[in-house]
Amino acid sequence: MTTVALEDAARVAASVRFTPARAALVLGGLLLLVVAALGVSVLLGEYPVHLVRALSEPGTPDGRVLFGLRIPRALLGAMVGASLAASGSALQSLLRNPLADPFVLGVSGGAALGATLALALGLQALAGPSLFAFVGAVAAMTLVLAAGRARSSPYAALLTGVVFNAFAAAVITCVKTLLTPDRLGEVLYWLAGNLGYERPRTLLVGGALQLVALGVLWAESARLNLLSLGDDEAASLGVPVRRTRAIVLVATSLSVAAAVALAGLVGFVGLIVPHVLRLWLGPDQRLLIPASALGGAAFLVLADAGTRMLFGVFHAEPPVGVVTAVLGGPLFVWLLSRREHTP
Amino acid sequence: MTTSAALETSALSVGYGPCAVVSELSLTVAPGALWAVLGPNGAGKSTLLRTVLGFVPPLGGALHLFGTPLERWERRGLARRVAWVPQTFDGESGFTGLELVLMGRSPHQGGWGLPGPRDLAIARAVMAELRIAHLAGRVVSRLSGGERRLLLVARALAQEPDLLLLDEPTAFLDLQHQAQVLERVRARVRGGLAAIAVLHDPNLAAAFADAVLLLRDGRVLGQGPATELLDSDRLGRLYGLGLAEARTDSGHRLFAPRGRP
Repeated sequence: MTTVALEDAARVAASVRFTPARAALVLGGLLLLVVAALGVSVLLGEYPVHLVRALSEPGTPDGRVLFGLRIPRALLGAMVGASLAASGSALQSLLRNPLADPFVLGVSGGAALGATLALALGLQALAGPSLFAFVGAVAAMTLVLAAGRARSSPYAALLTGVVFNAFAAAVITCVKTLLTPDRLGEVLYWLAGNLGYERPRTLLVGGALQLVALGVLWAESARLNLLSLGDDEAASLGVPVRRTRAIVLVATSLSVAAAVALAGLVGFVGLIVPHVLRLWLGPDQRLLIPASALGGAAFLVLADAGTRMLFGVFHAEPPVGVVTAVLGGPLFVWLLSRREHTP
Repeated sequence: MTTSAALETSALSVGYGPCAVVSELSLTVAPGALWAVLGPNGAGKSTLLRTVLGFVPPLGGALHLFGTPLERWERRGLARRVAWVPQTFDGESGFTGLELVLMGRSPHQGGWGLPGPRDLAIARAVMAELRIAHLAGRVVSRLSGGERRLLLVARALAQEPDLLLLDEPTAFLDLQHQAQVLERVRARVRGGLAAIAVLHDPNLAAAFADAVLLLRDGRVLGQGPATELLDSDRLGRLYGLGLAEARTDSGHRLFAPRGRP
């Protein structure tokens, strides 16, 4: 009798993949991965940091590199990766399209356009590029999703995003031709997507904003599960569709805009990380959103550490956005080609 | 206004945009009754159900659910009383069969949808009842159209509604499952459920429904007890083709298109 009950419990466990116990196990494991990634990232680089010396004497070169450069940069990477991956996961559910990604949806195009304009106008002070990027990202996301919702096809928003990116790229090119060489350099570096140095206060404000935005997404995750079945089905199961959509859109827009404002264009993180995790964990957003946040953080921190290692090869540091694009572009094409058979 | 009716409409017009697909519909669906909606394609049967669910705003007239006007219902409260089996299901979903059926419990759960033992028990009982317990661990997007359809019926039954709206619940189903789904709905109707099913087979309507609503060309061709309304003459006019009628030994009526002589 007990074996029957046990077998039965095992069958239910295999069929219902989201349980608090499993979530705790998965998220705990991913958290360890993030910590490990942060550890690797702060120790790796052109200048080998002696950890004991840095910790015992923060005034030494070791300490200054660790606390002044490596740790802020690693934390920034974690923050941006978490934001992009969790937002990607939420958008994929909302738009019922596994190809949805903040980068593809034109948010990044909008942000880039905003930042380029700010740099071109010489508004480097007062966090001008970040602010303009923020406004551009929110505007682009609103535009793309409004256009995409007018026709409720899961591809409409995506196509609008692609077109918007092309439009933004054209305007940026136009601005670039008008710039002086030194300003052009700044624009180019910003556009490539890099994790640079940010002041502790910026990190703190950004981190608080991300925590709130991702917390909201996690709180909405059960309703996102139902929305992934379609608006009408979700409504018939008790989801206030319009309100939920609005909440998720505002939270993802803010999160992504803040990430782009801090790190420039880092593409495809929102595509790669949720996709890999979905293969492992299933489609339940209650687990996928926090798992994507942690997985995205670890992924981007490691990718950034990787770019620093490339310094030894190229004698220049390629932006981390290049690494994610090199990984993400082919994945996108592969996903598109096998979409008919995607589970 | 009787508060006992699950659904009550008066002079209701439904449709998209300015054109009404069905107009002047006055219908009362009481608990313990199974209504079948019959009519040619495009007669507005699905639109009627979608209007009752509040997805399409009514173009005119009044619509009350359990005595309360439709616009006064909020989504979650409505989902505890009214369930819907949609006509189509796009199968991108990677959820398992049991996960999908458990979603029917979500209006009864906390906001985060963690199933309690009772939710699990209900979901699994419904799946056993429809003989789809073996689909519990299967990924929905890899199932056949009929299997998905059975899961959607199971989800709606797990919702434990007082009014069940079924949009072609028998589509994609083999003969045995068609009868089984309607039998299980029928059993709940005996227990006080009100149900409205859009059907394409008048024989199923004759076998299972208490009452029928016949829609054609934007108007009601007839509504009332199935035994009185279903005859070859009226159904012939409904579908615009000649129908032959026969009776089985047990007294059931059967309808079929007249073949060529």
